[in-house]
Amino acid sequence: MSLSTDVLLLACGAYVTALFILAFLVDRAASRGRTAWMRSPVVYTLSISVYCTSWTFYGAVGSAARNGLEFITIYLGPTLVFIGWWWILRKLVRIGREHRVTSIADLLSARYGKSPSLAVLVTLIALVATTPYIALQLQSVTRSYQVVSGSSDSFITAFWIALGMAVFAVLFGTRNLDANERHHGVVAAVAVEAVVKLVALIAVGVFVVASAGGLEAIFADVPTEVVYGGKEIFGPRWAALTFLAGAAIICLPRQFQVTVVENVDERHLATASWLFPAYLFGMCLFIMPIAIFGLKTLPEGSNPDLYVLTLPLAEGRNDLALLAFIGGFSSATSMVIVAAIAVSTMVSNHIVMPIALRLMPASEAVSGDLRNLLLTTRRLSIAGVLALGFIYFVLSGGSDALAAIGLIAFAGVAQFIPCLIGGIFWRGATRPGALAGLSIGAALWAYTLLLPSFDGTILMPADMIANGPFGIALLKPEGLLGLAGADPLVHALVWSLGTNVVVFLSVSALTQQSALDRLQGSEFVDVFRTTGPRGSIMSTGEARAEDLFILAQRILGTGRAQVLFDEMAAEQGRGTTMPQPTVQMIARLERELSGSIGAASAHAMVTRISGAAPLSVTQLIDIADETQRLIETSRALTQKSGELEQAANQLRVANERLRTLDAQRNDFLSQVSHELRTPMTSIRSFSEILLEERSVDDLDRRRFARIIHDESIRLTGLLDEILDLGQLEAGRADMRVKDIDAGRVIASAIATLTPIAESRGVRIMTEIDPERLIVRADPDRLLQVLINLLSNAIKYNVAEGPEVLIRLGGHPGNAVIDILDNGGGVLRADAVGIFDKFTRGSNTGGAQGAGLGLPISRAIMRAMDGDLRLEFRRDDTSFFRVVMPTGRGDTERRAQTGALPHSAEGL
Amino acid sequence: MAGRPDTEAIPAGDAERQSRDLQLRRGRDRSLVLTVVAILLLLPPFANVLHVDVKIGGVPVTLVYLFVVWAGLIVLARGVARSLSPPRVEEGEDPAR
Repeated sequence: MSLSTDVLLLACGAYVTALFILAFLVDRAASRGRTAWMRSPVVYTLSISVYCTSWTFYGAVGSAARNGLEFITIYLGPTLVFIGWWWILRKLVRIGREHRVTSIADLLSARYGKSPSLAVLVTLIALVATTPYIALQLQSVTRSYQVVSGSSDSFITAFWIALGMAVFAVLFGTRNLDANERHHGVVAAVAVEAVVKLVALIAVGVFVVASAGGLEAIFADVPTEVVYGGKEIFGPRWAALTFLAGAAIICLPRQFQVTVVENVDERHLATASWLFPAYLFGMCLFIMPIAIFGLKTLPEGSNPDLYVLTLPLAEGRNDLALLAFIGGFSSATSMVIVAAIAVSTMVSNHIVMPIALRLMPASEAVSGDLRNLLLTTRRLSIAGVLALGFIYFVLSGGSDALAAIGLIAFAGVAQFIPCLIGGIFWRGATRPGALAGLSIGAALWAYTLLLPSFDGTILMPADMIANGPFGIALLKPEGLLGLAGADPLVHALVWSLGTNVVVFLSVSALTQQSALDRLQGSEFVDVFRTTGPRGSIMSTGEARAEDLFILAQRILGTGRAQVLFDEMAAEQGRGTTMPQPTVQMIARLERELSGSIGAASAHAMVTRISGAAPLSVTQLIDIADETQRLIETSRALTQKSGELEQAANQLRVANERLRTLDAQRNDFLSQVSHELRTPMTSIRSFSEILLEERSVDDLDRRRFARIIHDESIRLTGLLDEILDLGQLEAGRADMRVKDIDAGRVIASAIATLTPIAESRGVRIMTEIDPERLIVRADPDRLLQVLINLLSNAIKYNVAEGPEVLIRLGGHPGNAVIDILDNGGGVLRADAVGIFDKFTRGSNTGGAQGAGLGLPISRAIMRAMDGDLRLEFRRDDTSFFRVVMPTGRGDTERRAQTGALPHSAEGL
Repeated sequence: MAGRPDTEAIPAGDAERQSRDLQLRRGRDRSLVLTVVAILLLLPPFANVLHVDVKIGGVPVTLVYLFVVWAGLIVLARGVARSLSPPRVEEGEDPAR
């Protein structure tokens, strides 16, 4: 039951030819700028499905037959990464675009100070991990060919397949050195192959379910252990596999190529975030039924890895078997081609080119044909990578050991994860840290996983695997430091990745970043924030625009170089002449070149031609520091200007206050001099009369002397008052505050003023409640205030039958003395300035006094923690209220009587 | 430099832009929640909850569980992706900002 070789070859040939034509047409359309349909998120998603290799197409069923559900982890990991695309993938894609990244080695080297050594290390790890993987693809295609055609010349078949893939990869992978390493033709072919393999697998699955008579029939009388693959399925191995697959979808060179490098539009990632998991879902849907059905129906000892082919063949469905074969062929070829392109880009950019540049004299680096050199090295690298894969396949003799290589490769590239994630999220990650972590991780990976997987055939003898080197059991590769018993994969992962992370973090923390490292670090971490033109890290040296142009021409091709230089000249406003080799211009050129040859090489070449060499480390640090200082200075300036504004405001307020005070002082002085002038004038004129007029009789003489005497007393009083007020306002007044009985002070005030009141016919009444109220005040000063207020009330009362009422009351904590009269009090219109100096009420009937009484009284009350206010009643009449704190004796007494003020009356 | 990651201050006065920014922020929150929920549902110890010896419609329950969760995640991820990438964005302008 097999297909004839002729039919098989014809079908394969037709399929491959169709792919070649498709890739060719797409590339031609792209070179004419017609890439509209290529800019579809679906094509992007399908190209990512290069993840599903023949290891998936055939191997997943094999894995399901042997280990049950476990195979799903390989697809759940990527599902998780894509669902969380916003957090990691989006940042990687953005960095890839901003920095013209050509591969994962380029990204890591660019992040860590454009380090060539890191690029070489990453490239080597990728190469070591990819070569067996490519061999695995060759093996699976060869095996499937053998099964379908019944032939047995395995190596010849593999050789032709490898050759065909090399031709395809060289033709479409190195047609040009596109500025961003994009290969539209390859992507289109991979997308078509993705559809083919999905359709083929689903077709086989539907056929299996249909011929078995439904899902229920397939799973009937199957013990669940077969499906679950043992009791503990969701254990450490499950988590480790899921993590590995998630790491692989980011770090595998071919995945990085299609996801990051070939991405033409960041928004495509949003679509891929659910469409790619959906694709994986489709791929996995029928794996389990196919595996179970194969186990049940096919004879004992048939290879589960080939159930996808052998099941249709066993049922006599040759057409379906052919479709399945094409599907498997598609998965293998797409992986091999993309992986070869990705790895060869790394090899040529990071290993071959730097060596070639070093061997070349400086003059040739400028004039030599670098473009051709680049293309040649790229082509040779592709051929080399595939040749390595083929040799590996031959050497391993197509053994079953290859089947495990998928996970081993995953674990190898997972070593990139710490320095990759650390590099894009942690500014402090340093180049020595990345180098050390990666080296030790890769070494442990090789020691604990890769080498033991060959069962003693390569490098590591079987004896060493079983007993450890020189019989030291502690160093046993699969039980390091006695950590035996764990699953070998989990064991290797814990050791290699754990040590990797620890070393990466601690070396990063212990070492200094170089200036370039620091600069690139912050640009990568802050990729969503840096939008403007980036700062450059080159000195222009003695670069000549002509030399730079020749360099650009050699790498980008004449047309693109011309366009680029015209653009740069236009930006500098120099029309069509050569652009000035400014710092920005050189930085931009370097970025453009790195799109073709990687950041480290571009950096090396440009610095070489500009002759300046990279700036010395101290200079770089200076530049970085300068930038930092500028940022800080500008921030400080902003803050300072805010403070200044505030200070200016305060100054303006203070100035206004000063001016008001000045005006008040002037007013005061003029009023004082006016007040002094009146008595002085009368004193002078009367004393002149006394001196000069001899005819003044004795009576008049006595009268005049009396006037002079009275006016002098008035003057003295006025001067005393002014002095008093000055002291009170300055807070220097001497106050002897103590607990006193307010009623007593009121009584003595009344006693003092009774004569005047009687002479004017004013009745003085009191309303004291409670009778004894202790207040805190200076008795003499309080008396002064009360006399002042009372005499005002007596003097200015113009009512008929004038009366004055003194009312004493207490609120908790405060005592209040009100001076009321029936003369109407102060008018509302006069209330505003009533406490100003030299102000007198307008209804005073003939003005008397200097007008300092009220301001002084208020100043006294305030100096005793009390106050003097003018209160208005509803009928617009007003009275003065003296407020002062009650004394301690009062509080104690109130506490004893239950805080009822009126109960004090009985005492 | 400190502050919200990945976003810049919203320019005042541009209502459309503000609402887009708000939508973006909500989308981002949903994305985070979905990722965390997905990790919890698909990894031990949570995944073990439904790991029992039962069949649904002839299919072992754990198998059904995995595929149902997976399908649900895909549908939800589609919703999140939509809220994170507004359908109409001017050419050259980045939806993330």
